Amino acid sequence: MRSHRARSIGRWAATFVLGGVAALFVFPFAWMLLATFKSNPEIFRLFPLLPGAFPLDHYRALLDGSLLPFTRQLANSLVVASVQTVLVLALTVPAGYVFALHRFRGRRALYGCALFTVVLPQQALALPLFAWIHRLGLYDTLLAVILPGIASGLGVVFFTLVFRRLPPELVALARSEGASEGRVLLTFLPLVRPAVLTFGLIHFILAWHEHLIPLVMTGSAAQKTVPVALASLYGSSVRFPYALLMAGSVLATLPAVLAYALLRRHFHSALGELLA
Amino acid sequence: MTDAPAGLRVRGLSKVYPGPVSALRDVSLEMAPRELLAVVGPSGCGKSTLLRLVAGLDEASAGEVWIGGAPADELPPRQRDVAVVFQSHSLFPHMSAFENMSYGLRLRGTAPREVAARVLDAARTLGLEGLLTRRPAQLSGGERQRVALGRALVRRPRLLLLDEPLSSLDAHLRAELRREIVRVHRHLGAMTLLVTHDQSEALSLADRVAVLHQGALQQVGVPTSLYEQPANRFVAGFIGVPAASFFEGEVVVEGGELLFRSPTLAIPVVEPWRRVLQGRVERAVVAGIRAEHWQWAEPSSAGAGRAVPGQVEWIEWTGPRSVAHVRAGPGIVRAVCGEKVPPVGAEVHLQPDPDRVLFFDRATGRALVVSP
Repeated sequence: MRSHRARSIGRWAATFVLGGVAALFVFPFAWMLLATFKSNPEIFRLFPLLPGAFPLDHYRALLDGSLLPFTRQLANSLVVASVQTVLVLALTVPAGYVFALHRFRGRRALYGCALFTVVLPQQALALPLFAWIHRLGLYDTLLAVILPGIASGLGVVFFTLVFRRLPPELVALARSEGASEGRVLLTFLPLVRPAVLTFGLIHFILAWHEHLIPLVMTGSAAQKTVPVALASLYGSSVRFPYALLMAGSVLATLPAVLAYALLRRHFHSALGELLA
Repeated sequence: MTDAPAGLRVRGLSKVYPGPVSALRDVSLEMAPRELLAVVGPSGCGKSTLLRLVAGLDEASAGEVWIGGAPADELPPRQRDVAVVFQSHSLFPHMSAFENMSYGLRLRGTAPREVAARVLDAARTLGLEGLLTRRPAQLSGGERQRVALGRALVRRPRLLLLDEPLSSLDAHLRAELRREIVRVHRHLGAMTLLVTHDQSEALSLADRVAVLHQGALQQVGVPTSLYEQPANRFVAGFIGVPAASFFEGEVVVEGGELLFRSPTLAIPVVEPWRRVLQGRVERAVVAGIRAEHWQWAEPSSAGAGRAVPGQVEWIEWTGPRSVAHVRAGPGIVRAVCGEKVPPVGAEVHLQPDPDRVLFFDRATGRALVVSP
């Protein structure tokens, strides 16, 4: 048996190691935040870490729209990420339910298709998708950015696995009590809510940071999303201060962090808790 | 069988799963309105498959199901007007007892006041008044099954299907809930199909009992007929606790007397068996003797010549009576003890009551029947 002291030393060691790893992850973000208040020469010196003052000029310059329609682009990102997330859930949750609980002709082949889209690199699809979007007359609209992302094979696979965990007796119960298939799905939605919120949040964050599709599908500054707009600042011929780019990055990171903070408490799994 | 019965009719029902074993083979059954029928059999005998086919939760490979005089084969579960109670997961874990009990009514758009009245009524019948706001996780196993029965009571279905409803409860609760099942059954005035592996549950609750074995129906009848006139060796061995003992032997004539003789046992054949077995002299038969139909013979007594000698291996005490497991020749004979319980290791002699012996054809296992 280990002594009390050995255990407490072990705990301190764990705290130390994990704290170090955490610091390693936090450092770049802290640096980014601090850099928004620094001049270019200050940014390239490691010390002092803290800036002398905290002027908000760079944030103001971004948000007043003098350099680029940044508030519009923030709104674009928000619309794209949230509408796409809602549509993805509306498609993949019912699809997962059907794959998990129904036997029908062609089920395995269709499921195979969903799996295939997971391993297919997005780059391979960008060009054919662009051709379709163009033909539909949607080029340089937000819809063009939203639509390609809604057919999520990953979502279908994920929710199939989620619904497979439902005890078959419960599904049989709902059916025998008089529920149509749609009602069965609605009945169990509260049970799978943690999974829906988790997948929705992850999809929202990925859609928010998505770069390739918005880059390909839009041309004008007014239709760009934040990541594309920021990238265009980096690549532009005008020499913007780095602090401005960092301020843009901070603003671009905020919504994802906020979304996570808001939904975090829903993550503990009601399914696991209730069926254990 | 010309016009359809008002109850349940199952005809030629089969279910084949991929693989060599079929879950259900050509089962035909009828249930009268208001009947409580128990389907009993060892695990894997196909009884739950039968219930699922009747409920419409699975598709039959062949055969028909009629409920209330109309074919139900094409109907989805929700149109069959049945309620199901399973052994576990019998309630939605994320709904309160009230929400669970009212689920079916709420689906049908019943007025909230009517829903509440019916749930309260059912809760009163089952003693659940104080538990309606609780979630399943906050209920004991017995309370959960009572809520599940309450849900059926609220819905008032034509057919109540119970799939091992008491099997995960301890013995005391099981006894208590048997009473609730009978109460719900009478209250509903509907048909109840009870699937169980527990024969005492089946025999004590049901009007009639159907015995399933390896997917095939062995016998359907009132409990006493299954006990007294089992259709075959399987039913004779399955129904009755402790289980009957079987002896393979043949019918012989010795000194003008008709006898059943096995390596360990000789039984004089008495009327009415004589009429049946006379035609089977020199042929192989199996004798089945229930544990309660043995007589304990004194080793010194004159009748001991035909008694089975054996040694007591184990005394199984079951409360009201003790059962001796006696090693006799190559096998074990179970015999209910009288007033005097022999000690373990004692040399004893057992003699069957010749009137109560059951005879079976050795090849087919079918019971030899005394024609009236």
